[in-house]
Amino acid sequence: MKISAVYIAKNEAHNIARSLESIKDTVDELILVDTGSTDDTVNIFQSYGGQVFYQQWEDDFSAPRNLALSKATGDWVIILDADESFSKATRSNIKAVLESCSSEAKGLLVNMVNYDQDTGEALDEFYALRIVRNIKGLNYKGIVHEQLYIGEDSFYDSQRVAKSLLSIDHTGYTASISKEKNQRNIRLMEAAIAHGEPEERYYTSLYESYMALGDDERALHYARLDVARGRQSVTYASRSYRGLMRYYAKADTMEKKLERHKLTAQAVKDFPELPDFHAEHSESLYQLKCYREAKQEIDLAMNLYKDYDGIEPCLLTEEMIPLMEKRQREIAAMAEKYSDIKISACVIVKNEGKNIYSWLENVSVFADEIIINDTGSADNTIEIITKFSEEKPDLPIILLQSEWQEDFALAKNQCLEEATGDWIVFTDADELFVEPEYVKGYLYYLRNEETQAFFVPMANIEKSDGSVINYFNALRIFRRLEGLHYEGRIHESLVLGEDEGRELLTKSAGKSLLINHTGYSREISPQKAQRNLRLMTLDIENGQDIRKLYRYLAECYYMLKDYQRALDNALLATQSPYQPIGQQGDMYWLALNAMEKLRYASEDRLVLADTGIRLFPDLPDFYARRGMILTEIENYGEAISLFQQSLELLESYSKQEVPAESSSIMSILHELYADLGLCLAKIGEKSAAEAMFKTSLNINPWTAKALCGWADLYHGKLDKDFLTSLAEIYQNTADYKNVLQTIFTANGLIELAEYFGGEDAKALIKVKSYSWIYNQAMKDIAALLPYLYVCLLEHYDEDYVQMVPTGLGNIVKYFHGFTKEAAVRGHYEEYKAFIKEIFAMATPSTINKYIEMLSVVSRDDSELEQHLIEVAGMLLQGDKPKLALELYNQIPAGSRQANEKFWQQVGICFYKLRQYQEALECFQRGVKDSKTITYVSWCREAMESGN
Amino acid sequence: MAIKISACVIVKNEEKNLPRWLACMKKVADEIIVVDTGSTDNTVALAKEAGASLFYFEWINDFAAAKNYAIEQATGDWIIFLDADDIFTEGAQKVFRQEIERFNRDNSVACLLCRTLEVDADNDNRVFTTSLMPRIFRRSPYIRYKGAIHEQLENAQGNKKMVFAEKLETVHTGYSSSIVRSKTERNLPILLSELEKATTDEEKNRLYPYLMDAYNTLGDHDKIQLYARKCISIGYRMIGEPGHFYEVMTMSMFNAGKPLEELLAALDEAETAFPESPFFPFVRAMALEKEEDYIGAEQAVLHGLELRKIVDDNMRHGIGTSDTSIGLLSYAYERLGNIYTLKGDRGKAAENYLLALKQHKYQVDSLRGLCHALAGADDVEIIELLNSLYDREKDGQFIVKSLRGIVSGGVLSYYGKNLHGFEGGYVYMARGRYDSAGVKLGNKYRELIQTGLLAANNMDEYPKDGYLKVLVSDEYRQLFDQNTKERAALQRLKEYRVRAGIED
Repeated sequence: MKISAVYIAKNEAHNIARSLESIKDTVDELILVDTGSTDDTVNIFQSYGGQVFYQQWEDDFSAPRNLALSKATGDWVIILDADESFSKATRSNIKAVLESCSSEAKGLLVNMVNYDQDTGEALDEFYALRIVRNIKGLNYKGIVHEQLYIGEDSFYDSQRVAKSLLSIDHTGYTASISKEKNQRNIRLMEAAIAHGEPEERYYTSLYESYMALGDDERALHYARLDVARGRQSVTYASRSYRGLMRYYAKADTMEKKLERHKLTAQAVKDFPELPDFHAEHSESLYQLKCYREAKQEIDLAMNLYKDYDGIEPCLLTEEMIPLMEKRQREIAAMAEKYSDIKISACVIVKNEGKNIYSWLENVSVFADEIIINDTGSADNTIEIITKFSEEKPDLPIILLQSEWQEDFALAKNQCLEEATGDWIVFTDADELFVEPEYVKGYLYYLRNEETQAFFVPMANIEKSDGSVINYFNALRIFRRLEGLHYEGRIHESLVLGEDEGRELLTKSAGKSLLINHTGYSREISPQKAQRNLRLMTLDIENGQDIRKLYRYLAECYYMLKDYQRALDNALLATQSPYQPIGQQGDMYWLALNAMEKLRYASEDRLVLADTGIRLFPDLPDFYARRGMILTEIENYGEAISLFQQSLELLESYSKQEVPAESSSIMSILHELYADLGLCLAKIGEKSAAEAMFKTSLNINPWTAKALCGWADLYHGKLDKDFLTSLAEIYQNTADYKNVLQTIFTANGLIELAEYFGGEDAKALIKVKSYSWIYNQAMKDIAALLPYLYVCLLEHYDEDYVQMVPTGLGNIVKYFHGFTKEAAVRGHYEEYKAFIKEIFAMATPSTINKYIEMLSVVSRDDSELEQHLIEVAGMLLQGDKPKLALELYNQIPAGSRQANEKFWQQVGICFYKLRQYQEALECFQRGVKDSKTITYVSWCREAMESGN
Repeated sequence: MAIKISACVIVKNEEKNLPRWLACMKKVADEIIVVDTGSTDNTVALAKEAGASLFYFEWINDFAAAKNYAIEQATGDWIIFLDADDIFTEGAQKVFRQEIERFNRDNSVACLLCRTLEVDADNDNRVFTTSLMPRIFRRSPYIRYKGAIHEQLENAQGNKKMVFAEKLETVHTGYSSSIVRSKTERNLPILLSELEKATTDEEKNRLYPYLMDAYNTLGDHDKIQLYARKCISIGYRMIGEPGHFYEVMTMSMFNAGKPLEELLAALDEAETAFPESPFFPFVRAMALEKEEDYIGAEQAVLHGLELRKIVDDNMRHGIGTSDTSIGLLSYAYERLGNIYTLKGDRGKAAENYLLALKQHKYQVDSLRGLCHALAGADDVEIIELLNSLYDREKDGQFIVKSLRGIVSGGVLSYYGKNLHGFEGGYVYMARGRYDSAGVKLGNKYRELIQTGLLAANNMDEYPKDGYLKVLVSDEYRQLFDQNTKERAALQRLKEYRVRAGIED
């Protein structure tokens, strides 16, 4: 067995001999990489028979070490610094240790004792990797605080050598590394990172260096990063953890205590054998009043301390023990007095296969029991729950399977009946706590308060990129109290007992309990809105206080385009005693939107906007709306100042981490800038206006107002600069030319429309004669309108419906359920106008639904019969004999309408359906004209040729 | 020795037609004689540019005189005399020289009859009739035109032959609906004044045919039938178009919606006089179909088709002068298509629609009928068939417009591929994408409303026909009167027109 020893050194003449002495009798090969000694270092080394190599010092500890390693030829390599030497007591054991160590060990961790250079006092000791087999791929990485790797992996398969067998004295240690040296190290590390080295490599070192410099903020920043990585397989990996714990030891606010608890929980997870950490954790728990658990931890700490012999240094000393025992007794006393708090996590689910696993993971951090009410999932929800339950046998999970009864309160109450916790956390499957670890601590900490329920802040998250859309508050955590239950088929709320007036004592939880809600949709679908309306109506009939529901009614009606009702309910909501925390501005906002749809006068809208400003002076929302209304009525100066106010408020609003009041301004920000641009343009501030238009388009590139306002600055002409700017904005947008062409065409900007359309977009506008244009336009509209009508029946589009003649528009609205019968009754002429095109181009279901409308557009039964026959005739012409026959069949046999012409038509139907016998019978009763003669003859022909 | 060919024409304000005429004549003639009778447009410059020999002749309301003047300026051996709106077909141009050489060798031939395809340029170049007229003749002092209006070529020596030059067909756009109308409007006053001046029966009788033609153009059915009757009773036969008067009369009666019995009686009379003419059976078919006598209609068409076979044959041999039923042929086939559709015989229906389209490919109802009859066939088959008739690029828009609601989304997409305009909406509809279609159509609708309103507001008098009220909602129209983006759009449109010089 050949043993090599490798050194790097620079001017270590005073140290190196002592080190070499400690190993000269053991090693066979001595290698030094000298990085620029000007003293006797090299000579001394050579005098011991060592080889010396040279490398220029480049502020990089790894490079010379790697060079040294590459020169070693032994089976084992001992890595020492000039100021490190094997202790007198153990130096003779080296060979024996190497011979007897396991063949799997690739390296040996040797105890190193740090002696203060100046005082000679032993400071601390820890295990260091100093002896390695000379295997392939050995290399150091890191310009400072360099670590040994095998290839790209951190060194593995190292074994610890008992202190008694081997120990190294490190005599060059200074407790106080100079400030300059720390700064230099930081500089070097940052340079290395900038150069491409992974930042992770230096987390610990950066933490230490900044700590030494007194820059706590940065030190802790890196400590956090380090801790987040989990336990590293390096010696003394607990450094960063300890640093953070020291910082949190001063935690005084609940938030800080929660954070401390999270840290210590991770620390004991990563270092379960380390008694110090359990002691720390016990402290954290105690701070949060989790006495039972605190006791468990302190007991564990004391036990582990007794026989501790781990690699990681334990900093508990014998002197500390009496203090700890005292603490142990104090905690035990509290634990006696205060029992554990039990937390139940509840949820109702239906087809939540995508969400339920994350939900389970999230709540299992704090829940002591989980109760799930599945109301009829058809996907793999139940499978996932079952599997999770098997993976976590210690966590009781109760799975209820019920049938959905269109009653949210009922379903939720079923969960409550099974719950046994002191507190209930009732969330939706798509709601996840951002810091689930804080929930328990929070509830423990506030255990003595009288609060019965908590509103927690919720963030609606954009699924695609995780950004926050807006915030709101909801009641999600409450004590399990006698008589506490949910009420309301929809928009259910918690009530205490049966009597009115017993209100829950609530409190708003801080941002520690923030929940991310991923299932947010900005609007509910019309179907959902219908359903919700229905359920709310049922609730109200059954005694629900309608004042609780005004806001939801408003939202539903708005979705169903019943803007008048939406407005009425929104206004009622603002007066309701039931105001949701942090969301009151919503109803004013909705009311304003409804008023715009209904084309209320600007004065009325201004009143509402002003109320909004008065009630919510810190929200940017209503300043913006007022500004937009003023723009409409051409009060440009005032509008501008309002917009500026709004933008200023928006800036400060955005700075809040979790804002108190929800804001809707983001949804119209692009309009704000566009209007601001318009105002500026009107007062002659062209370049300012342009800047505003650009901003608007950067938010929403298709803001027509901004595009046209901008174009107007150039009087609609093809200005070079304008076109260049546009090209820049849209350069990464696919297919933008088409959209721009559409927008410009719709707004009368012909040159621009053609520029982006490439072809002659609007030939008609170029004709000289106005009367020619008028006539042609009317002709073209008449040709196009029937088809547009069909499209609108298939797919509702509010904008276009508003443009078509009122009679037609009402039919379309009725068809989609957006207006009442009264609006279309008797309007058969409009109904009939484009029926041919409907039969030719609509889908079968639309055709059927349209035909069913006949009874509504006819005023009475006899009219209905006439109409049935007329429409049947058109169906027959449109080659739909089957449908025609269905209509004909609805005419009662004795009806006046069932005349000779009628029978002829029916006969033709049968002919087309190849039912020749029936056809002939009808023709018998039908009118005797040449048409009948033709068909009869054709019938006979067909029957003869055996069809 | 090579023959020298002169091409002559008299012109007045023909800048639109002349370039095409010159291009054609350059290919077939050695000398081009252009006689201008008072152009005020670019005509003269165009002629000069093309290197024609340009002459002036003061217009004295006498076509023959002007034409004879042109003949006198020519120096070639043979003279081509086509109107400015009449040119040889491509095929004719290719073989022109050879044909003239061939006819030249026969000294007994002095004049060539050419078939002229009368097409209506305002109706997709539909061939509505053909005529046979002398267009090419030897240069001789005896061959001149006679007649101030409707001038005729006459050979004073009378001893030479006029033969049919089958390959030398021409295409004449001059009777295109709009042109004829204006020509008639020009000619009618002249005729009426001549009628007043006429003293003898003979003089009056001579004018009746022209009066009938004039009123035929103007669509005055009572007068048409009046003069037609007069011509028939006189016993006129137009050279080259023997049944002309009956044809005009019966068509007029059909168009005027005369009672069936009257029309049938007139047709009986016509068929008795001209039993070989396919024209009358076709009109009969159209009338019977309208009355829903499908079997009768079917029989009439088939009869007409039989007669056409004979006419076709004759034409190929250069016998027979004009083919007036060709204009009705596509309608005839279409009638059969319709009848077989009602009957349920899809195969026969498709066949006949196809024949109709082969006559006139832009007959929308036939195209729709054809595709309707083929419903259920593979998209690929339908496309192949349509491609045999149409050009995807040129006719794409037409096909999409015509076939919406009839063919599948696949077929419409194929033809609508490069349509950028709103017609793309129809393609979307066929593919079931009503939302996209709605957007396209809706945007076009908005555009048209804007344009229409702009026009209405700027016309001399605001239109009283009430169309806007019927086609656009009051609610939307009101937006244009308030300070809205709609009003802004209208303002921009007006400014654009001023900028672009469309308005002053």
